[in-house]
Amino acid sequence: MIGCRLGDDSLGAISELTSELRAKLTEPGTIVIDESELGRLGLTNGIDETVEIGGQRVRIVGLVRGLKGIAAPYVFCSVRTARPLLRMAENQTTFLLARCDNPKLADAAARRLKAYSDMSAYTAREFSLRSRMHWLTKTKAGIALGYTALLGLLVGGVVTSQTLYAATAASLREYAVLRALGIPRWRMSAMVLAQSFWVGLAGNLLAVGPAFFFAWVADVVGVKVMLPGWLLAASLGITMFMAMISGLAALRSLRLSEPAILLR
Amino acid sequence: MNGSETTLRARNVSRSFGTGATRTTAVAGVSLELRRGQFALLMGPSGSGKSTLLAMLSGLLRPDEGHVEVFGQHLWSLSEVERERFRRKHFGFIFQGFNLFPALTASQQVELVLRWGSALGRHESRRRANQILSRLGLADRADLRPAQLSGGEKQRVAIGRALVKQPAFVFADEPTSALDWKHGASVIELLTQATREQGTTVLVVSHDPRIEPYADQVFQLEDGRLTCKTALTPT
Repeated sequence: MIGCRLGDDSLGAISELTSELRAKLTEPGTIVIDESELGRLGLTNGIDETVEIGGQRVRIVGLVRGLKGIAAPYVFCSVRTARPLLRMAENQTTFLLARCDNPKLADAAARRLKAYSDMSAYTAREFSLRSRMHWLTKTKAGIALGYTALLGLLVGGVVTSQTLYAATAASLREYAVLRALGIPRWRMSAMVLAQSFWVGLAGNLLAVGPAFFFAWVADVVGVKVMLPGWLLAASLGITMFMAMISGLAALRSLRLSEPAILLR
Repeated sequence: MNGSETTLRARNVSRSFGTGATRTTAVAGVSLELRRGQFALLMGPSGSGKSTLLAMLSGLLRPDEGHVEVFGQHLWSLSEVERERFRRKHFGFIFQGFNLFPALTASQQVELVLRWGSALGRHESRRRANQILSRLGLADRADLRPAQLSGGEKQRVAIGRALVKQPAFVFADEPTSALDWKHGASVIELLTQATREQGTTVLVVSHDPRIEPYADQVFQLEDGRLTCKTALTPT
């Protein structure tokens, strides 16, 4: 539940809440939700329908797009509506937002506020990182996503490794001829690693299209998937690393390529 | 070409396999000499130790006893890396199967030996590979992959791979066994041509008596022992 001030100068204003929606939210007991949550909440039309939150009835006055919650739906409302729903007193709040006239002083200001033992203070960047890390490492969805990525990496690594191993093992006799001809083993190892590199690169090129396609599909169904350059670069790097490690694992089959296997 | 120059000399070469009661002697005290530009044929029934002897003479299998001297160099006193370098410089091999990489064209199979073995550039390797393939009658097959070649053509590519670096020796283990005689004879003719034109010493292991007329010398091996050396052409 995100209760924010609704004035034009509100620091915590949600950019998706238009002035018209904010005007509607000034009425106590009204909320706005993402349009993609209607099905999940068992609603049909949404607007002017009434739902119950913590035993208290609220009315939906508007819908937004692109703010679908991964676990539970986000609920947007005024601070005045949020307090009773969260069972908070008039003088209570979860956090306050403040802006420094000079953004360069934000770090110093946060540090000074941290000196008070009964409060925590963060700059916008710290708070953003803290929220993301909390989501990634403390929530079930984040942990499940992490494990899924790890599992995908492991399965991909095993499949790539076994494929390269099988491809190398299938040409053992050919490699053995080259060994007989005096070609050093490192040359063949380099070829296997070069194959790994090209397999990794081809995999990356094939994956870029679907990654953007699925991000677009997610966007269409209301989940914003961001693919910044650093994330793409890191993914490409990890995939290349995995392919090269798989290549190194496949090298063990080359040890079997002794010219003696060619003699009958 | 100096036809009488001894290039390979083997003395009392022996090799056994297994241990204890299962120990069998594959080659027992074989001595022989090969000369420059000679086409030698090593014959014998299956299991007589022909391939084992070829492997010991060519630096692929260490003998239990005896020594092999090539160009005055004791092959088996070299380190593994030195022996590998020696093979790279002086030896070519043809084996029973064609052993060609399925994904590479005929030209690329040959180029690989030059690029990796002689550190030649791509252009020069390609030129020399095409040159030898032309000599082997494969000029119009150079860009085809093994699946598109006949058995005889594949073996000719394998010969090209063995000859392209102009080695002093070519060791061939049953090079015609997968071919009909028409193609087999053509393979043998190509090898005799190499002895004449490049002074290459060729040692062919085979049990096919039809190769005998092509050979300068025939060695007969039975139960690991050399039973007969027949010089068919004067030296």
